[in-house]
Amino acid sequence: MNTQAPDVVTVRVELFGHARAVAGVSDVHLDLSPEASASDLAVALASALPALVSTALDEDGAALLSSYTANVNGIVFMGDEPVSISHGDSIYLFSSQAGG
Amino acid sequence: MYGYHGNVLIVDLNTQTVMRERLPEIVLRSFIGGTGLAAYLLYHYCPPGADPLGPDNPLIFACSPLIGSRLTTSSKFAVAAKSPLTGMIGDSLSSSFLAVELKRTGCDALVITGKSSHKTLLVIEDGTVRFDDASDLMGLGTSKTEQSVRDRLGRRFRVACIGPAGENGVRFASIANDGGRQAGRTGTGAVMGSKNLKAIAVRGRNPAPVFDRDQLDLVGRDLSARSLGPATEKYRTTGTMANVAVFDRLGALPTRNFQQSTFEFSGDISGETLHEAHFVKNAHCANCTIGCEKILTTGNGGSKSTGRMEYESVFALGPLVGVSDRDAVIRASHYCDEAGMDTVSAGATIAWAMECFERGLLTIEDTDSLDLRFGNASALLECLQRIANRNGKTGQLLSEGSKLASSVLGRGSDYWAMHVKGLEMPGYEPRSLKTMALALAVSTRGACHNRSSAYEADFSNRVNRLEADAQRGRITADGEDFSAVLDSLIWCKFLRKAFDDFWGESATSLNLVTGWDVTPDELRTAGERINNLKKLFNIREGWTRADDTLPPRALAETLPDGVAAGIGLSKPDLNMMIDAYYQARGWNPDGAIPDSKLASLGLDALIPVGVK
Repeated sequence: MNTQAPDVVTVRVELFGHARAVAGVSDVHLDLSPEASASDLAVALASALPALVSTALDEDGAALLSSYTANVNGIVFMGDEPVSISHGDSIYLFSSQAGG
Repeated sequence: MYGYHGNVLIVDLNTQTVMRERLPEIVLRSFIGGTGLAAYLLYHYCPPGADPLGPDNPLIFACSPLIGSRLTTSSKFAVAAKSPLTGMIGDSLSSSFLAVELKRTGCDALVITGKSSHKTLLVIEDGTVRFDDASDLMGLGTSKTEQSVRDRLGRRFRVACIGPAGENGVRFASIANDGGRQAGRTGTGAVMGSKNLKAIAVRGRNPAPVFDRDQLDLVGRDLSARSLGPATEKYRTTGTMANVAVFDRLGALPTRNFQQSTFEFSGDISGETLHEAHFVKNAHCANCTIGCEKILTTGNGGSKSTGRMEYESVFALGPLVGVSDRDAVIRASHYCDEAGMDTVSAGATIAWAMECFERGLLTIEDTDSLDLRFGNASALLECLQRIANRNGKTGQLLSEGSKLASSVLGRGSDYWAMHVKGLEMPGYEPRSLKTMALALAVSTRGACHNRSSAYEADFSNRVNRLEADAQRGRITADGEDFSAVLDSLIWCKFLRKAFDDFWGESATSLNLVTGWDVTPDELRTAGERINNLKKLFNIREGWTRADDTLPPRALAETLPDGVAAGIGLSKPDLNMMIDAYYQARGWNPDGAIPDSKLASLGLDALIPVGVK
């Protein structure tokens, strides 16, 4: 029995608000490391959805803009430190401007 | 004096007389303007124990020092009165040209006392005040009222008015201005209606002088540029409606009177869908570079209904009442604006009635044949009309708001009345947002999401939003103080992330307007002072610690669905957070404010002698 963690896990990233409008899709499936940070997510998103660069991602496609945040399964907010991610997880990309 | 006129205009509707009272600089510097100045004036002019719908309750419009500065988003004003919903402090903010014109009439605030013997249009033009007959305006919606007044007096006049809901004493009636903007919460429109005051028209030619206009314009240009950046993107694009789908995914979207925290039809009424299918245009307040207002229109079928839409209205007239028909939600929101009713309290009160109906506490006879089940869009629209006009048993009962209505109905129905202190809950599920839970419980104006910014912490990795802990006390107190300054200067909340250094930049802007030497620390203290004064008002009106709580359902039931399934909030956990909040505030364990705290904030010297 192989107990090693997988090299990558496939997750579904759901886009909200302006990010969805710019990308032209509501979601995308990405392969991420099972220990991934917000920067790791940004790099993967920039590759899959270049329209998000300079919109939800910085101009290098290496980080989320401060106006965006990412949340795993509606529970864990992603940041500089890697968080555990499993195959089939949902990641929500939405505005960090909470409230209204 | 720069930035202010240094006086408050007092209008007595009983005698139709007017006087001006000086506002000392120490008062203005201590309470700034907006909600802070309004709280000071309310404490001063509202007799203890006044009937909220009686002539003694003053209706206050407070300007801010930044009005007229040309700084982005600064054309805002506060309205305050003792709330007919809560019996405690009530205040609300609104925006745009009315703020500019009111301040240009030459006062920093307007205090209206008494009750007119006839339906009145109050006209203030520079230093003159007159009391016109408003009989021909009665029964008109807010847009037609404003249009009629401006047709009569001229387009330079700006108008604040009530609709039928305010005329009929609906306790959650709002005050509208500038094409449908609303001072929505806490029922100030009912106070205005109780005074037989249909509308106020203002025109002024006397701006307050600015201390350093050139430097202020430089600061303003920089801030305006930032206001067009990523920090406000959400508000400029999808708007706050974008919260719907996100809150659903996070298990934070109150649904069917807080029975659930997700809505299975959230996709149908999400901000993204509404924007794609119904968007007409963005709209701006005066001197605003953000333009957050989303004008939506209904689709095919029936008469067109076009108006503003934002998250709280979608939540309250959609998921909260189980309605997913987008046209119905837009129509309901627009109807509330025209009738002059707070969409949150209207939706929440109807949601309470729907639950009572489904549980058999309200019968079909009680509702005058209205099938008041969750999800019945036509019943929602009919119910709103009955409320605004106080028609029939349903209209009479629900126009009182959920707290009073549940006390009239009895039979344990208060368990499902989702309010704090009488103000209905906004669209934030407290069980899955524990910082918000505390902020909603302790807020001086009742269940309010706008006076604490507490959601900031919950929607970040700063806290575990699903678990209660004592650090929420400090977070909430600091958020309230921040918000008090924001709402007193007044900056729009949607600008808050555009500041690199909120306290430093706010102090600089205030000093360039006034010529003062206010420090960031002085501003922080002002925020704390304002919140303590609001609490003092409530204490004077009979507040006790028992008032700082959440609705019974929120403390008894766990959430059944979504990512927060199984999550609840126990009374001991809420009390632990309240203890921490009082401690962070320097208050006694029973929530009373010690004299030493009043003295440290200067409140012992600033508030009227003998009424502490």
